[in-house]
Amino acid sequence: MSAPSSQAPAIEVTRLSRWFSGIHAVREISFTVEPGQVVGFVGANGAGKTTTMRIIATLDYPSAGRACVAGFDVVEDPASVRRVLGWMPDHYGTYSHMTVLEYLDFFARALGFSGAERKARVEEVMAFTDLASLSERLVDKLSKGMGQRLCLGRALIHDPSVLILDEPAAGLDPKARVELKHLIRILAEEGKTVFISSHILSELEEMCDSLLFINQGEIIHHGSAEELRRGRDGVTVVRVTLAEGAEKLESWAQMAPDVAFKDASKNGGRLIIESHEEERIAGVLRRMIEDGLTVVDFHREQARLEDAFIEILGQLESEGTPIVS
Amino acid sequence: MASPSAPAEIAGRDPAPRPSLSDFPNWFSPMLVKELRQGMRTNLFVTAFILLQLFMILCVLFAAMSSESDDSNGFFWFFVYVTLIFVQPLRGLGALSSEFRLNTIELIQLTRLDAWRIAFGKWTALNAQTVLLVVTVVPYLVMRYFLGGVNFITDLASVALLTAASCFLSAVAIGVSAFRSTLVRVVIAVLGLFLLSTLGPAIVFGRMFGGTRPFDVTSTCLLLLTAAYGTYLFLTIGASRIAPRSENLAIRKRGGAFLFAAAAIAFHFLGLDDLPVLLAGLALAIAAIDALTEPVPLIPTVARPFRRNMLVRPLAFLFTPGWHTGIFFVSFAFVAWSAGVAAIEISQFGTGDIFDLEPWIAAFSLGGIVTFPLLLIHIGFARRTDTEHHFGVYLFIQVGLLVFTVLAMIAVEASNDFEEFAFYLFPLPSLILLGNLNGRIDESLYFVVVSFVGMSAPLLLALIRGRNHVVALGAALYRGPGREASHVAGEPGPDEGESSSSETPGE
Repeated sequence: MSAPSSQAPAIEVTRLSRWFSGIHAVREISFTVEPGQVVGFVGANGAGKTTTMRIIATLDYPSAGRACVAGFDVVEDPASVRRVLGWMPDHYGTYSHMTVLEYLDFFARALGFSGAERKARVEEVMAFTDLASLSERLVDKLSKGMGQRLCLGRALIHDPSVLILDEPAAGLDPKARVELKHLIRILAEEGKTVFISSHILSELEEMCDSLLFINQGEIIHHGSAEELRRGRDGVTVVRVTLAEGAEKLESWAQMAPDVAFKDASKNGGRLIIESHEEERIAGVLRRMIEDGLTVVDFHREQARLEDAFIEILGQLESEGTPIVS
Repeated sequence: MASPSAPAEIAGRDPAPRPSLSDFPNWFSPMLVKELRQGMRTNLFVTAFILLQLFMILCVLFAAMSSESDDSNGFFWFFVYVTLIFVQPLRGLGALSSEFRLNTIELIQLTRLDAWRIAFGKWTALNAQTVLLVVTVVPYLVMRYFLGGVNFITDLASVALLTAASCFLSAVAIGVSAFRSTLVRVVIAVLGLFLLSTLGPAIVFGRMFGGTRPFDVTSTCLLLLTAAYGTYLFLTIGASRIAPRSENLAIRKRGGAFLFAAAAIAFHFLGLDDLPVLLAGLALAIAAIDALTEPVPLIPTVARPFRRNMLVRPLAFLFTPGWHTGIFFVSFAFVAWSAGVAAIEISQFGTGDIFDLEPWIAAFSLGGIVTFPLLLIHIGFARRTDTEHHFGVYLFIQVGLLVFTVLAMIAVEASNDFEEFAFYLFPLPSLILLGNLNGRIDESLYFVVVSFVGMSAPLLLALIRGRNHVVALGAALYRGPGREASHVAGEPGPDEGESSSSETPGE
């Protein structure tokens, strides 16, 4: 039995593999999630997200390697893992002939709460997920959004320090998605570790401290959204608008070191700066002003995360090697 | 959650009332509470409850108006019998599989409820509803007594007996409900209900109350012990089929079967003749079928409790879950049962009959009936052996063999010419057993050898097919506590060609 440590990472995965019938679902992946972090887990269908999350949640077993939650090994000490972990699957299970209150009460009982403590936990979770007004409604009559809130409430009943959310926003309408995102943001502010998978990268970008990309069972990127956007070629693209027009910008760029003119637009164009450093980027703007250019607009062009992800996949395909930053 | 503040987008709604629940006490099992809350709202329970009351009223009215009490008596017991023996147990037939269907089983597994508490909670909830139905019948019993023509004590005893039978059948139904295939559950239910509704009452009423025999305390004790053990066995079977792989319930099922068989055999020495042997064999056969079709857990942590002591380690090959250890269990159980029967025979008739071939043919054939489907499974359905379908395949092969045996016996009865060839042409254990019992086959060494091969060859084939699992278990037991503990032992790697596992990745 592994000994937990107060300094232990919230989630630690080491050379984890899982294969089924000769198919590698997860291939020797390693990563660490520190306590209090919100980490997005991104990948296409069949990439290995759910398999990895299920192993971490003690619902499946690794074929090789190791996974620990708060220092507890998922194979050696699953009971301890379950005490500190809340799991919200992509398909939330509900019962017929059971009200919202009874549903939460059942899981509170099953998690060992009794008496006033159980009542308090249920009340707190219902207040947090705003389900108190629906307490007498049958769970199989709830909308998808309400159902997801109930499922999140169930995962929070025992106040876990680590939350694993598998596609929590799948199938939700925009309003329900905003509500769910808000709840997750509050949980993150409270210091809970959240490991969340989603197909919608823009949503994860707003919530997550870092993103973990998985493709064909292998981790291909682990870093912040910012790092992902910057890409792997080490350049920054800035969009510039000048009062003098595009020709002036192009001629200036030909004279400036470390700067290249990418393309022209109506009153300016895009420049490529061979650096990610903010000081260097600011230096380019300073030089433009010093050289007498009338800069109307100067902003760093943000690549869409989806594009950045696809770019990484394309690069990996051409190189044939995975990269973990 | 330190601050349960609702999101701004949803915080502007009307303040909600403070919800609370106080319908069940804290000490009730969570599963019992949940099942009672749900169960008493189901249409089936409400309908059964109302119909039972309606029929009871009609029966009492009919008895009050009619001087002939036999007709109303028959109707009265028919409705009670149907409700308790059929309706209530049938409600348990979907109890555990529904947790899979609703995607809730994993949510429960993440709580502190283990598989046994889940199964037991569902059973107690179903019984609580049965008791509720029975309590509503009691006033009608009293009215029938005042209307005359019935013995209140006998009626009450009959209701109690039917309630006990209902509890037992509910346990069987809940055990069977762990099989996710509806077809498998229906087939078992049809076979089980047929057997229990024909043989069960005959044995119980014949032994305890009726017939030409007086009230027999020893038989009654054995039957009560059997019912209690059967309840435990089927609930444990159900629990083991929904348990996470790290839970070892094989030790309860297989160890329980040994203990019950030993206790049943002991009843022989208290004056019972053939019933103890029959019940001991039946218990071991059910445990054997379960053991031979159990998925392989492959988690070395299951073997850990056996590693503590060199003397205990070999027991892991009998008492860890999986069909690979089931082979050893079945072999050991057969030897133990045969030893028990031999002890009885020797105590009755001395050692003179030990060289009589007939009992050997019968014993090997009985063993062969349990093991023979493995031959077909490991030849034709090897990829199913580590899946939940293993039992289903076994069941349908067994049903197929039963049908074939019945047809072959009809052919034997119809044609004397065929009789001579039938047992040589189709040396199935079931055919040899029937031929042996009917005196249609010679008590020759040939049939001893054939029946022995029919029993042991399937086990040998299964052992060859499952050698990787056996080796993995041995490694988990006898190697040091290395990091192999996090590996799914015995499962073929991704590059090892054909795999016996047919699980599919979640994503």
